[in-house]
Amino acid sequence: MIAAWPGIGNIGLITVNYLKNKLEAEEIGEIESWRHFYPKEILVKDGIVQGMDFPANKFYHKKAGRDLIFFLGESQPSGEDEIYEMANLVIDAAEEFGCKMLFTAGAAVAPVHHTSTPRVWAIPNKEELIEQARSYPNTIAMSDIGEREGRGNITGLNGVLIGVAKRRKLDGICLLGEIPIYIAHFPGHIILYPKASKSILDVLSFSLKIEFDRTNIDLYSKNVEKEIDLLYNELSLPIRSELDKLKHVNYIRRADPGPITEDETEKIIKEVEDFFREGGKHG
Amino acid sequence: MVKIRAFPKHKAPFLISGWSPDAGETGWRVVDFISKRLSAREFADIEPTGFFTLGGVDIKENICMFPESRFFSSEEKDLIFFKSNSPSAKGYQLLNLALDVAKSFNVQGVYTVGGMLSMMPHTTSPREVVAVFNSPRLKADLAAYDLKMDLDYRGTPSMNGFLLWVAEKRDLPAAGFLVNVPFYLADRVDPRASKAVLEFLNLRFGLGMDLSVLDREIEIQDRKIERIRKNNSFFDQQMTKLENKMELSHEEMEGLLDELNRFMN
Repeated sequence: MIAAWPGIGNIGLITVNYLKNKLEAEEIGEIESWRHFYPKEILVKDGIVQGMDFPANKFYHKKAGRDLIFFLGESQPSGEDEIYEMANLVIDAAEEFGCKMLFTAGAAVAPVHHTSTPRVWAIPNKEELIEQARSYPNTIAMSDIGEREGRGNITGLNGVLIGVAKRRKLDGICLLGEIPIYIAHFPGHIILYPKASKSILDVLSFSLKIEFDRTNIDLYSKNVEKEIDLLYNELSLPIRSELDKLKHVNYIRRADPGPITEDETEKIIKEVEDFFREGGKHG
Repeated sequence: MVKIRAFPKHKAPFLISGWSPDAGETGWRVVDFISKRLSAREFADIEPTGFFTLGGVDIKENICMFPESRFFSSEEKDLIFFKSNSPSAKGYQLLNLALDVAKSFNVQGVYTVGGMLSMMPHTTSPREVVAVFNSPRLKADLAAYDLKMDLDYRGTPSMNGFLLWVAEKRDLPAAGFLVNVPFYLADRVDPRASKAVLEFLNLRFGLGMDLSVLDREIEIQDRKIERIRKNNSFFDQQMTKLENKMELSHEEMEGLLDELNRFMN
């Protein structure tokens, strides 16, 4: 099973939705979500309530050599209890379908540059899967990330789902595509980041041994990158120079001109926020 | 999660609910007004845990607020009242708890009351009460009343709409009574809106409540707003546009609201 919800850059959602569409998977079921969400729309006709629309949480199936189940959630529940309940419902379905492996997909906010190829952070839910995760292309483990010593956290449903899977003895790997820290923090701008989705799709193609056309996601990534370039070029020169350093950042071995310090990171984020607060124009 | 402290005697009551926040504080105030006028007794409440953020408290008009979901009973008029803050989580579960209580008293129908934001002046009178139903039968039952019953709407539901839908799932006939509230009174009391619903409920249940106190509130509010019009030409222009049924731009709406807040606070 491969599952995703909306999140930073909608990386997970774009990934799973793209794969589901390319493989022409068929809808096979859904989780009735009124217990977990406030309704998004009511329909009243001639004074009578006709129906209520809640965020969709649907399962899809495709036989592509092996059976693949996709789960796409239109929204993440807001409360911790609801997140836990939703995760259990998804795992209930995974057990019912006889799933042997679970992948979740989402975003890893990282000090990287948007012109670089995003890597994929792979976080398995048991030790035996570490080597498998390391064998995927362009993938790193948490311990590969400087100063993290293999630690970190995965917020929201992506994290809880993989945790609940562990609790219920279902193998799982969470795949997080890197998104540059300054893009994740663009205030007032929801920036989709398909470039990271593309990296996760490459990993899924490799690990599941499935081939599918990636022309559209390439094109989409390039278009979004052009839009980001336009915003980037409106930032002040000193800030751009700081951000340009991210082109050289390597988690394991940092090359010149040196890493961005925490102070510098805060300064960059503040500058980016000020930039948008002032209406997107900078001197 | 529901604490029932007394078991009032009812035959086949109606439940009347109101929520806060609400446009013009309509729902909450209407339920508060009737339950006090009928000397309704509080008999149960829903524990806030899980439904509300309890990391701190809000302060409103110098008073510390705390989320509440309370039930009141008027045995004499065979009415049950439910007054609640809108939950920040588990809305479906909270509504079901409220309907559990309703069902345990053999409630024959649920009425819910609220305000709807509108581009109109506060002096619009009488205010039209729009009725929305979860079953055609209830609509037919109320055909004799002066209600607008042909609403077509697609959009974000309020707790009132959510309640109608949940009640329908539980085979409980329910109706929402919604009154237009001028957008600039969204966070203030709109006594005209409350009065319009109270007049309907007075008739519907033969409550015989004296509503003259609301007339006085209306008079005071009108006077205050009239004073702003006299002293502020921008405010006056926008009000004139509304009176002439003209739409205001986003900037004009914000400007009008700013001026109102500046003078009313």
